Amino acid sequence: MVKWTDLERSTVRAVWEKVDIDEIGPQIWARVLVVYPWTERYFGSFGDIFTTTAILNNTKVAAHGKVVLEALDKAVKNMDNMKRMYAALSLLHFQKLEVDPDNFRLLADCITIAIACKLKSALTPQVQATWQKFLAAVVEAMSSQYY
Amino acid sequence: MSLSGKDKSVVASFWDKVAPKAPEIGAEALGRMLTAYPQTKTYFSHWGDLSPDSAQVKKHGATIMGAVGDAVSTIDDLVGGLSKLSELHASQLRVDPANFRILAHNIILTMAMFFPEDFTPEVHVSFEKFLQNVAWALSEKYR
Repeated sequence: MVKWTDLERSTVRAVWEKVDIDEIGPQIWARVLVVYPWTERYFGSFGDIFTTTAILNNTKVAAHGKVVLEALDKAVKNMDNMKRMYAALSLLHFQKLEVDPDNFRLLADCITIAIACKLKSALTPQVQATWQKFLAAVVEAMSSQYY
Repeated sequence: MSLSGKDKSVVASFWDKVAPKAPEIGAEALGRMLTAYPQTKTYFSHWGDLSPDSAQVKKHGATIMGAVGDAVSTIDDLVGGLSKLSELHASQLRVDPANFRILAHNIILTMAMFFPEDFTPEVHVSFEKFLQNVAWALSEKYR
């Protein structure tokens, strides 16, 4: 289980407080689809996601970005319990959605980049390190039910 | 994932914007890499101070971004343009090439921080592909 210091907990919360899910969620998901186009394979029901313009204007992409950040919100509030909390979601991604867990790592990077655009120098090297430790724990929890 | 004509022109025009800040970006990226990925410190144990503010980190970050700038100007032949650096990294520095990806992530993050409006998803994908190709060219002489 990942251990968190008080400073790490408050750092993660402080970063998250600055994130507007409605604003950043759609940006993150658009970035994932544009920068890593093979992720399109999981979104056959989203309609046109095959050009950058289509992706940026797709309402299902935007909605999904919010869904994912709402799930991340739970991790911020339950940093000590991520594996148990995400067990069902992990199993869903494995058995039903059949998502390659390497994509969780790509998503984590896009989340960090979107936050860097928003926070700019407030995302100091130390804050970045803590934030990335948090996302790595999320990625691990989301990969935990793959067998 | 080779570079299309569009990737090359996106990289060239984005580089025109960022070039004046390149040394600062390099220093910032290297400092972040050493902080957020402590395993990378193993290559710099001969430096006294590995904090982001250290003079050595700043100088080396600038050197690295200078090389990235050179790579932009030899974008049509990265293997040729980076041949000497590849030789250096392969035979003398012997940096595990997995670290090139880690540094690329930090360069990209720093660019996003400094140029949030310009670092759109389209610029992101072309620049990331470019850095991936730079890493590939840098690994050319490894084995």
